[in-house]
Amino acid sequence: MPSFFSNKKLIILLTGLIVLIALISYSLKEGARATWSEQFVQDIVGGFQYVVNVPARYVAGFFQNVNDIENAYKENKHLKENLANYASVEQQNSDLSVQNKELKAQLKMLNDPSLSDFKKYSATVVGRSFDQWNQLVTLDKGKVNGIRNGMPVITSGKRLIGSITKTGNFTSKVSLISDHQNVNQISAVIEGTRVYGMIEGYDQNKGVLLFQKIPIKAKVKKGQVVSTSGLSGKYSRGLIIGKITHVTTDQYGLTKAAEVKPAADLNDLTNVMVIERKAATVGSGVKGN
Amino acid sequence: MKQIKVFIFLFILFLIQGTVMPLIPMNGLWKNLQFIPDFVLVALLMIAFFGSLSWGLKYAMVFGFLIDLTYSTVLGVYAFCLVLTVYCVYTISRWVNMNTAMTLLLSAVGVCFMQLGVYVIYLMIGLTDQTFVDFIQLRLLPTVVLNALFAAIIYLPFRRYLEKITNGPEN
Repeated sequence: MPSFFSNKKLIILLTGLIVLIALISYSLKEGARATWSEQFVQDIVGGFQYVVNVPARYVAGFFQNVNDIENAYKENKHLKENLANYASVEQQNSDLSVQNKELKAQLKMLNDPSLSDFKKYSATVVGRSFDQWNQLVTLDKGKVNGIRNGMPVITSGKRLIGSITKTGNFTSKVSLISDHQNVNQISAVIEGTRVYGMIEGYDQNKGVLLFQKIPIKAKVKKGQVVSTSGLSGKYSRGLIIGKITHVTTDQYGLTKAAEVKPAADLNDLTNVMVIERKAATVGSGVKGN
Repeated sequence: MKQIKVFIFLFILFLIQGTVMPLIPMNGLWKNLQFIPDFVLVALLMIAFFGSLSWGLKYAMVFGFLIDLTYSTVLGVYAFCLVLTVYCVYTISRWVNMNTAMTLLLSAVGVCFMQLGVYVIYLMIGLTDQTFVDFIQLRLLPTVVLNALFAAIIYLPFRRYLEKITNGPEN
């Protein structure tokens, strides 16, 4: 009967452990930057992923369509209700934007990009990590298409899904807002108010983001919409994060905390947009406004 | 030449794990349950059982690093766990008589071992905060079922192919 670990094997195991720890600490320290070898592998695999992905999506799309037809009636009814308000809102919107432009011109601010201005690049999701601990998706656009590290990624309706962490030449990886490694805190604001806070984590079991550091006196209600504030370096203003589902105070009772259900369905991503904000960001080397 | 076919097969499984599997909406049926495809591991175990251990370990190393580079942010975790799992389960397999039921059982053991290994390492470096009870209930059971199913599907053709190329004249 062979022994489980002989002496030589034990040495190999220990060496393996040491290499493992070295690699882990290297990749945790290195953070977002991808070395050329990583980029190379990422691009090659990304190419193959693209090839496999196109027919797979086609088939999945068919089943999706069948599903959509079922929902169409309900959706149509709902949309008709909203349509009544649409004309008046549109009129109001155009009035306000004209007024805003005039006021800005008077203040000589017209050429400064506002916090909410951005440029869009569209991309397709070609792959996704299969263990649900890593929440990474691969996009089919990379450095040659103008995508850089740290850019926010949204889906239709300006709903935030994450930010770019690693860029290869032809592919890039998005760390979703549900990823644990996405340590970048997101400065957020409750829409229609001036209540600011931070998105600081994700609860995988409940599927909610943790919205914390809200001032204790702020009036926070269930159902309010939370969006990015544009005050942190990365995210431009007005990207929708989600809806508040539950409000508590934090463990010390000094600030309020809320649970936010993400607006985007993070399990079903196909076409996304990578956005580059026009306002100078902190640390980008350009002098701020 | 025959090894290339095995490599391509593994590579396709590796791609399917990341591209096709996320498109199948399993969460819709059973909320919160996590079905994790570990198809590459199942195929690697069979290569070790019916082909040769050394090739199994080499492929485990290569595909472990590919998984780390493509689907995770931290290098080395999957490479280490895959190699260790393939080696340990292979050692167990030499003590038993390999029939269909035993192969499926050992594949399931391998999947458990690998998931547990990755879970412990990820927990230590703070990549996950899933509790142990959740891990066992919501993740391990569905994952084992899914991968055992996959093992049952590829068992016969893959075993025949592997036995043919290892006993063939070229080797």
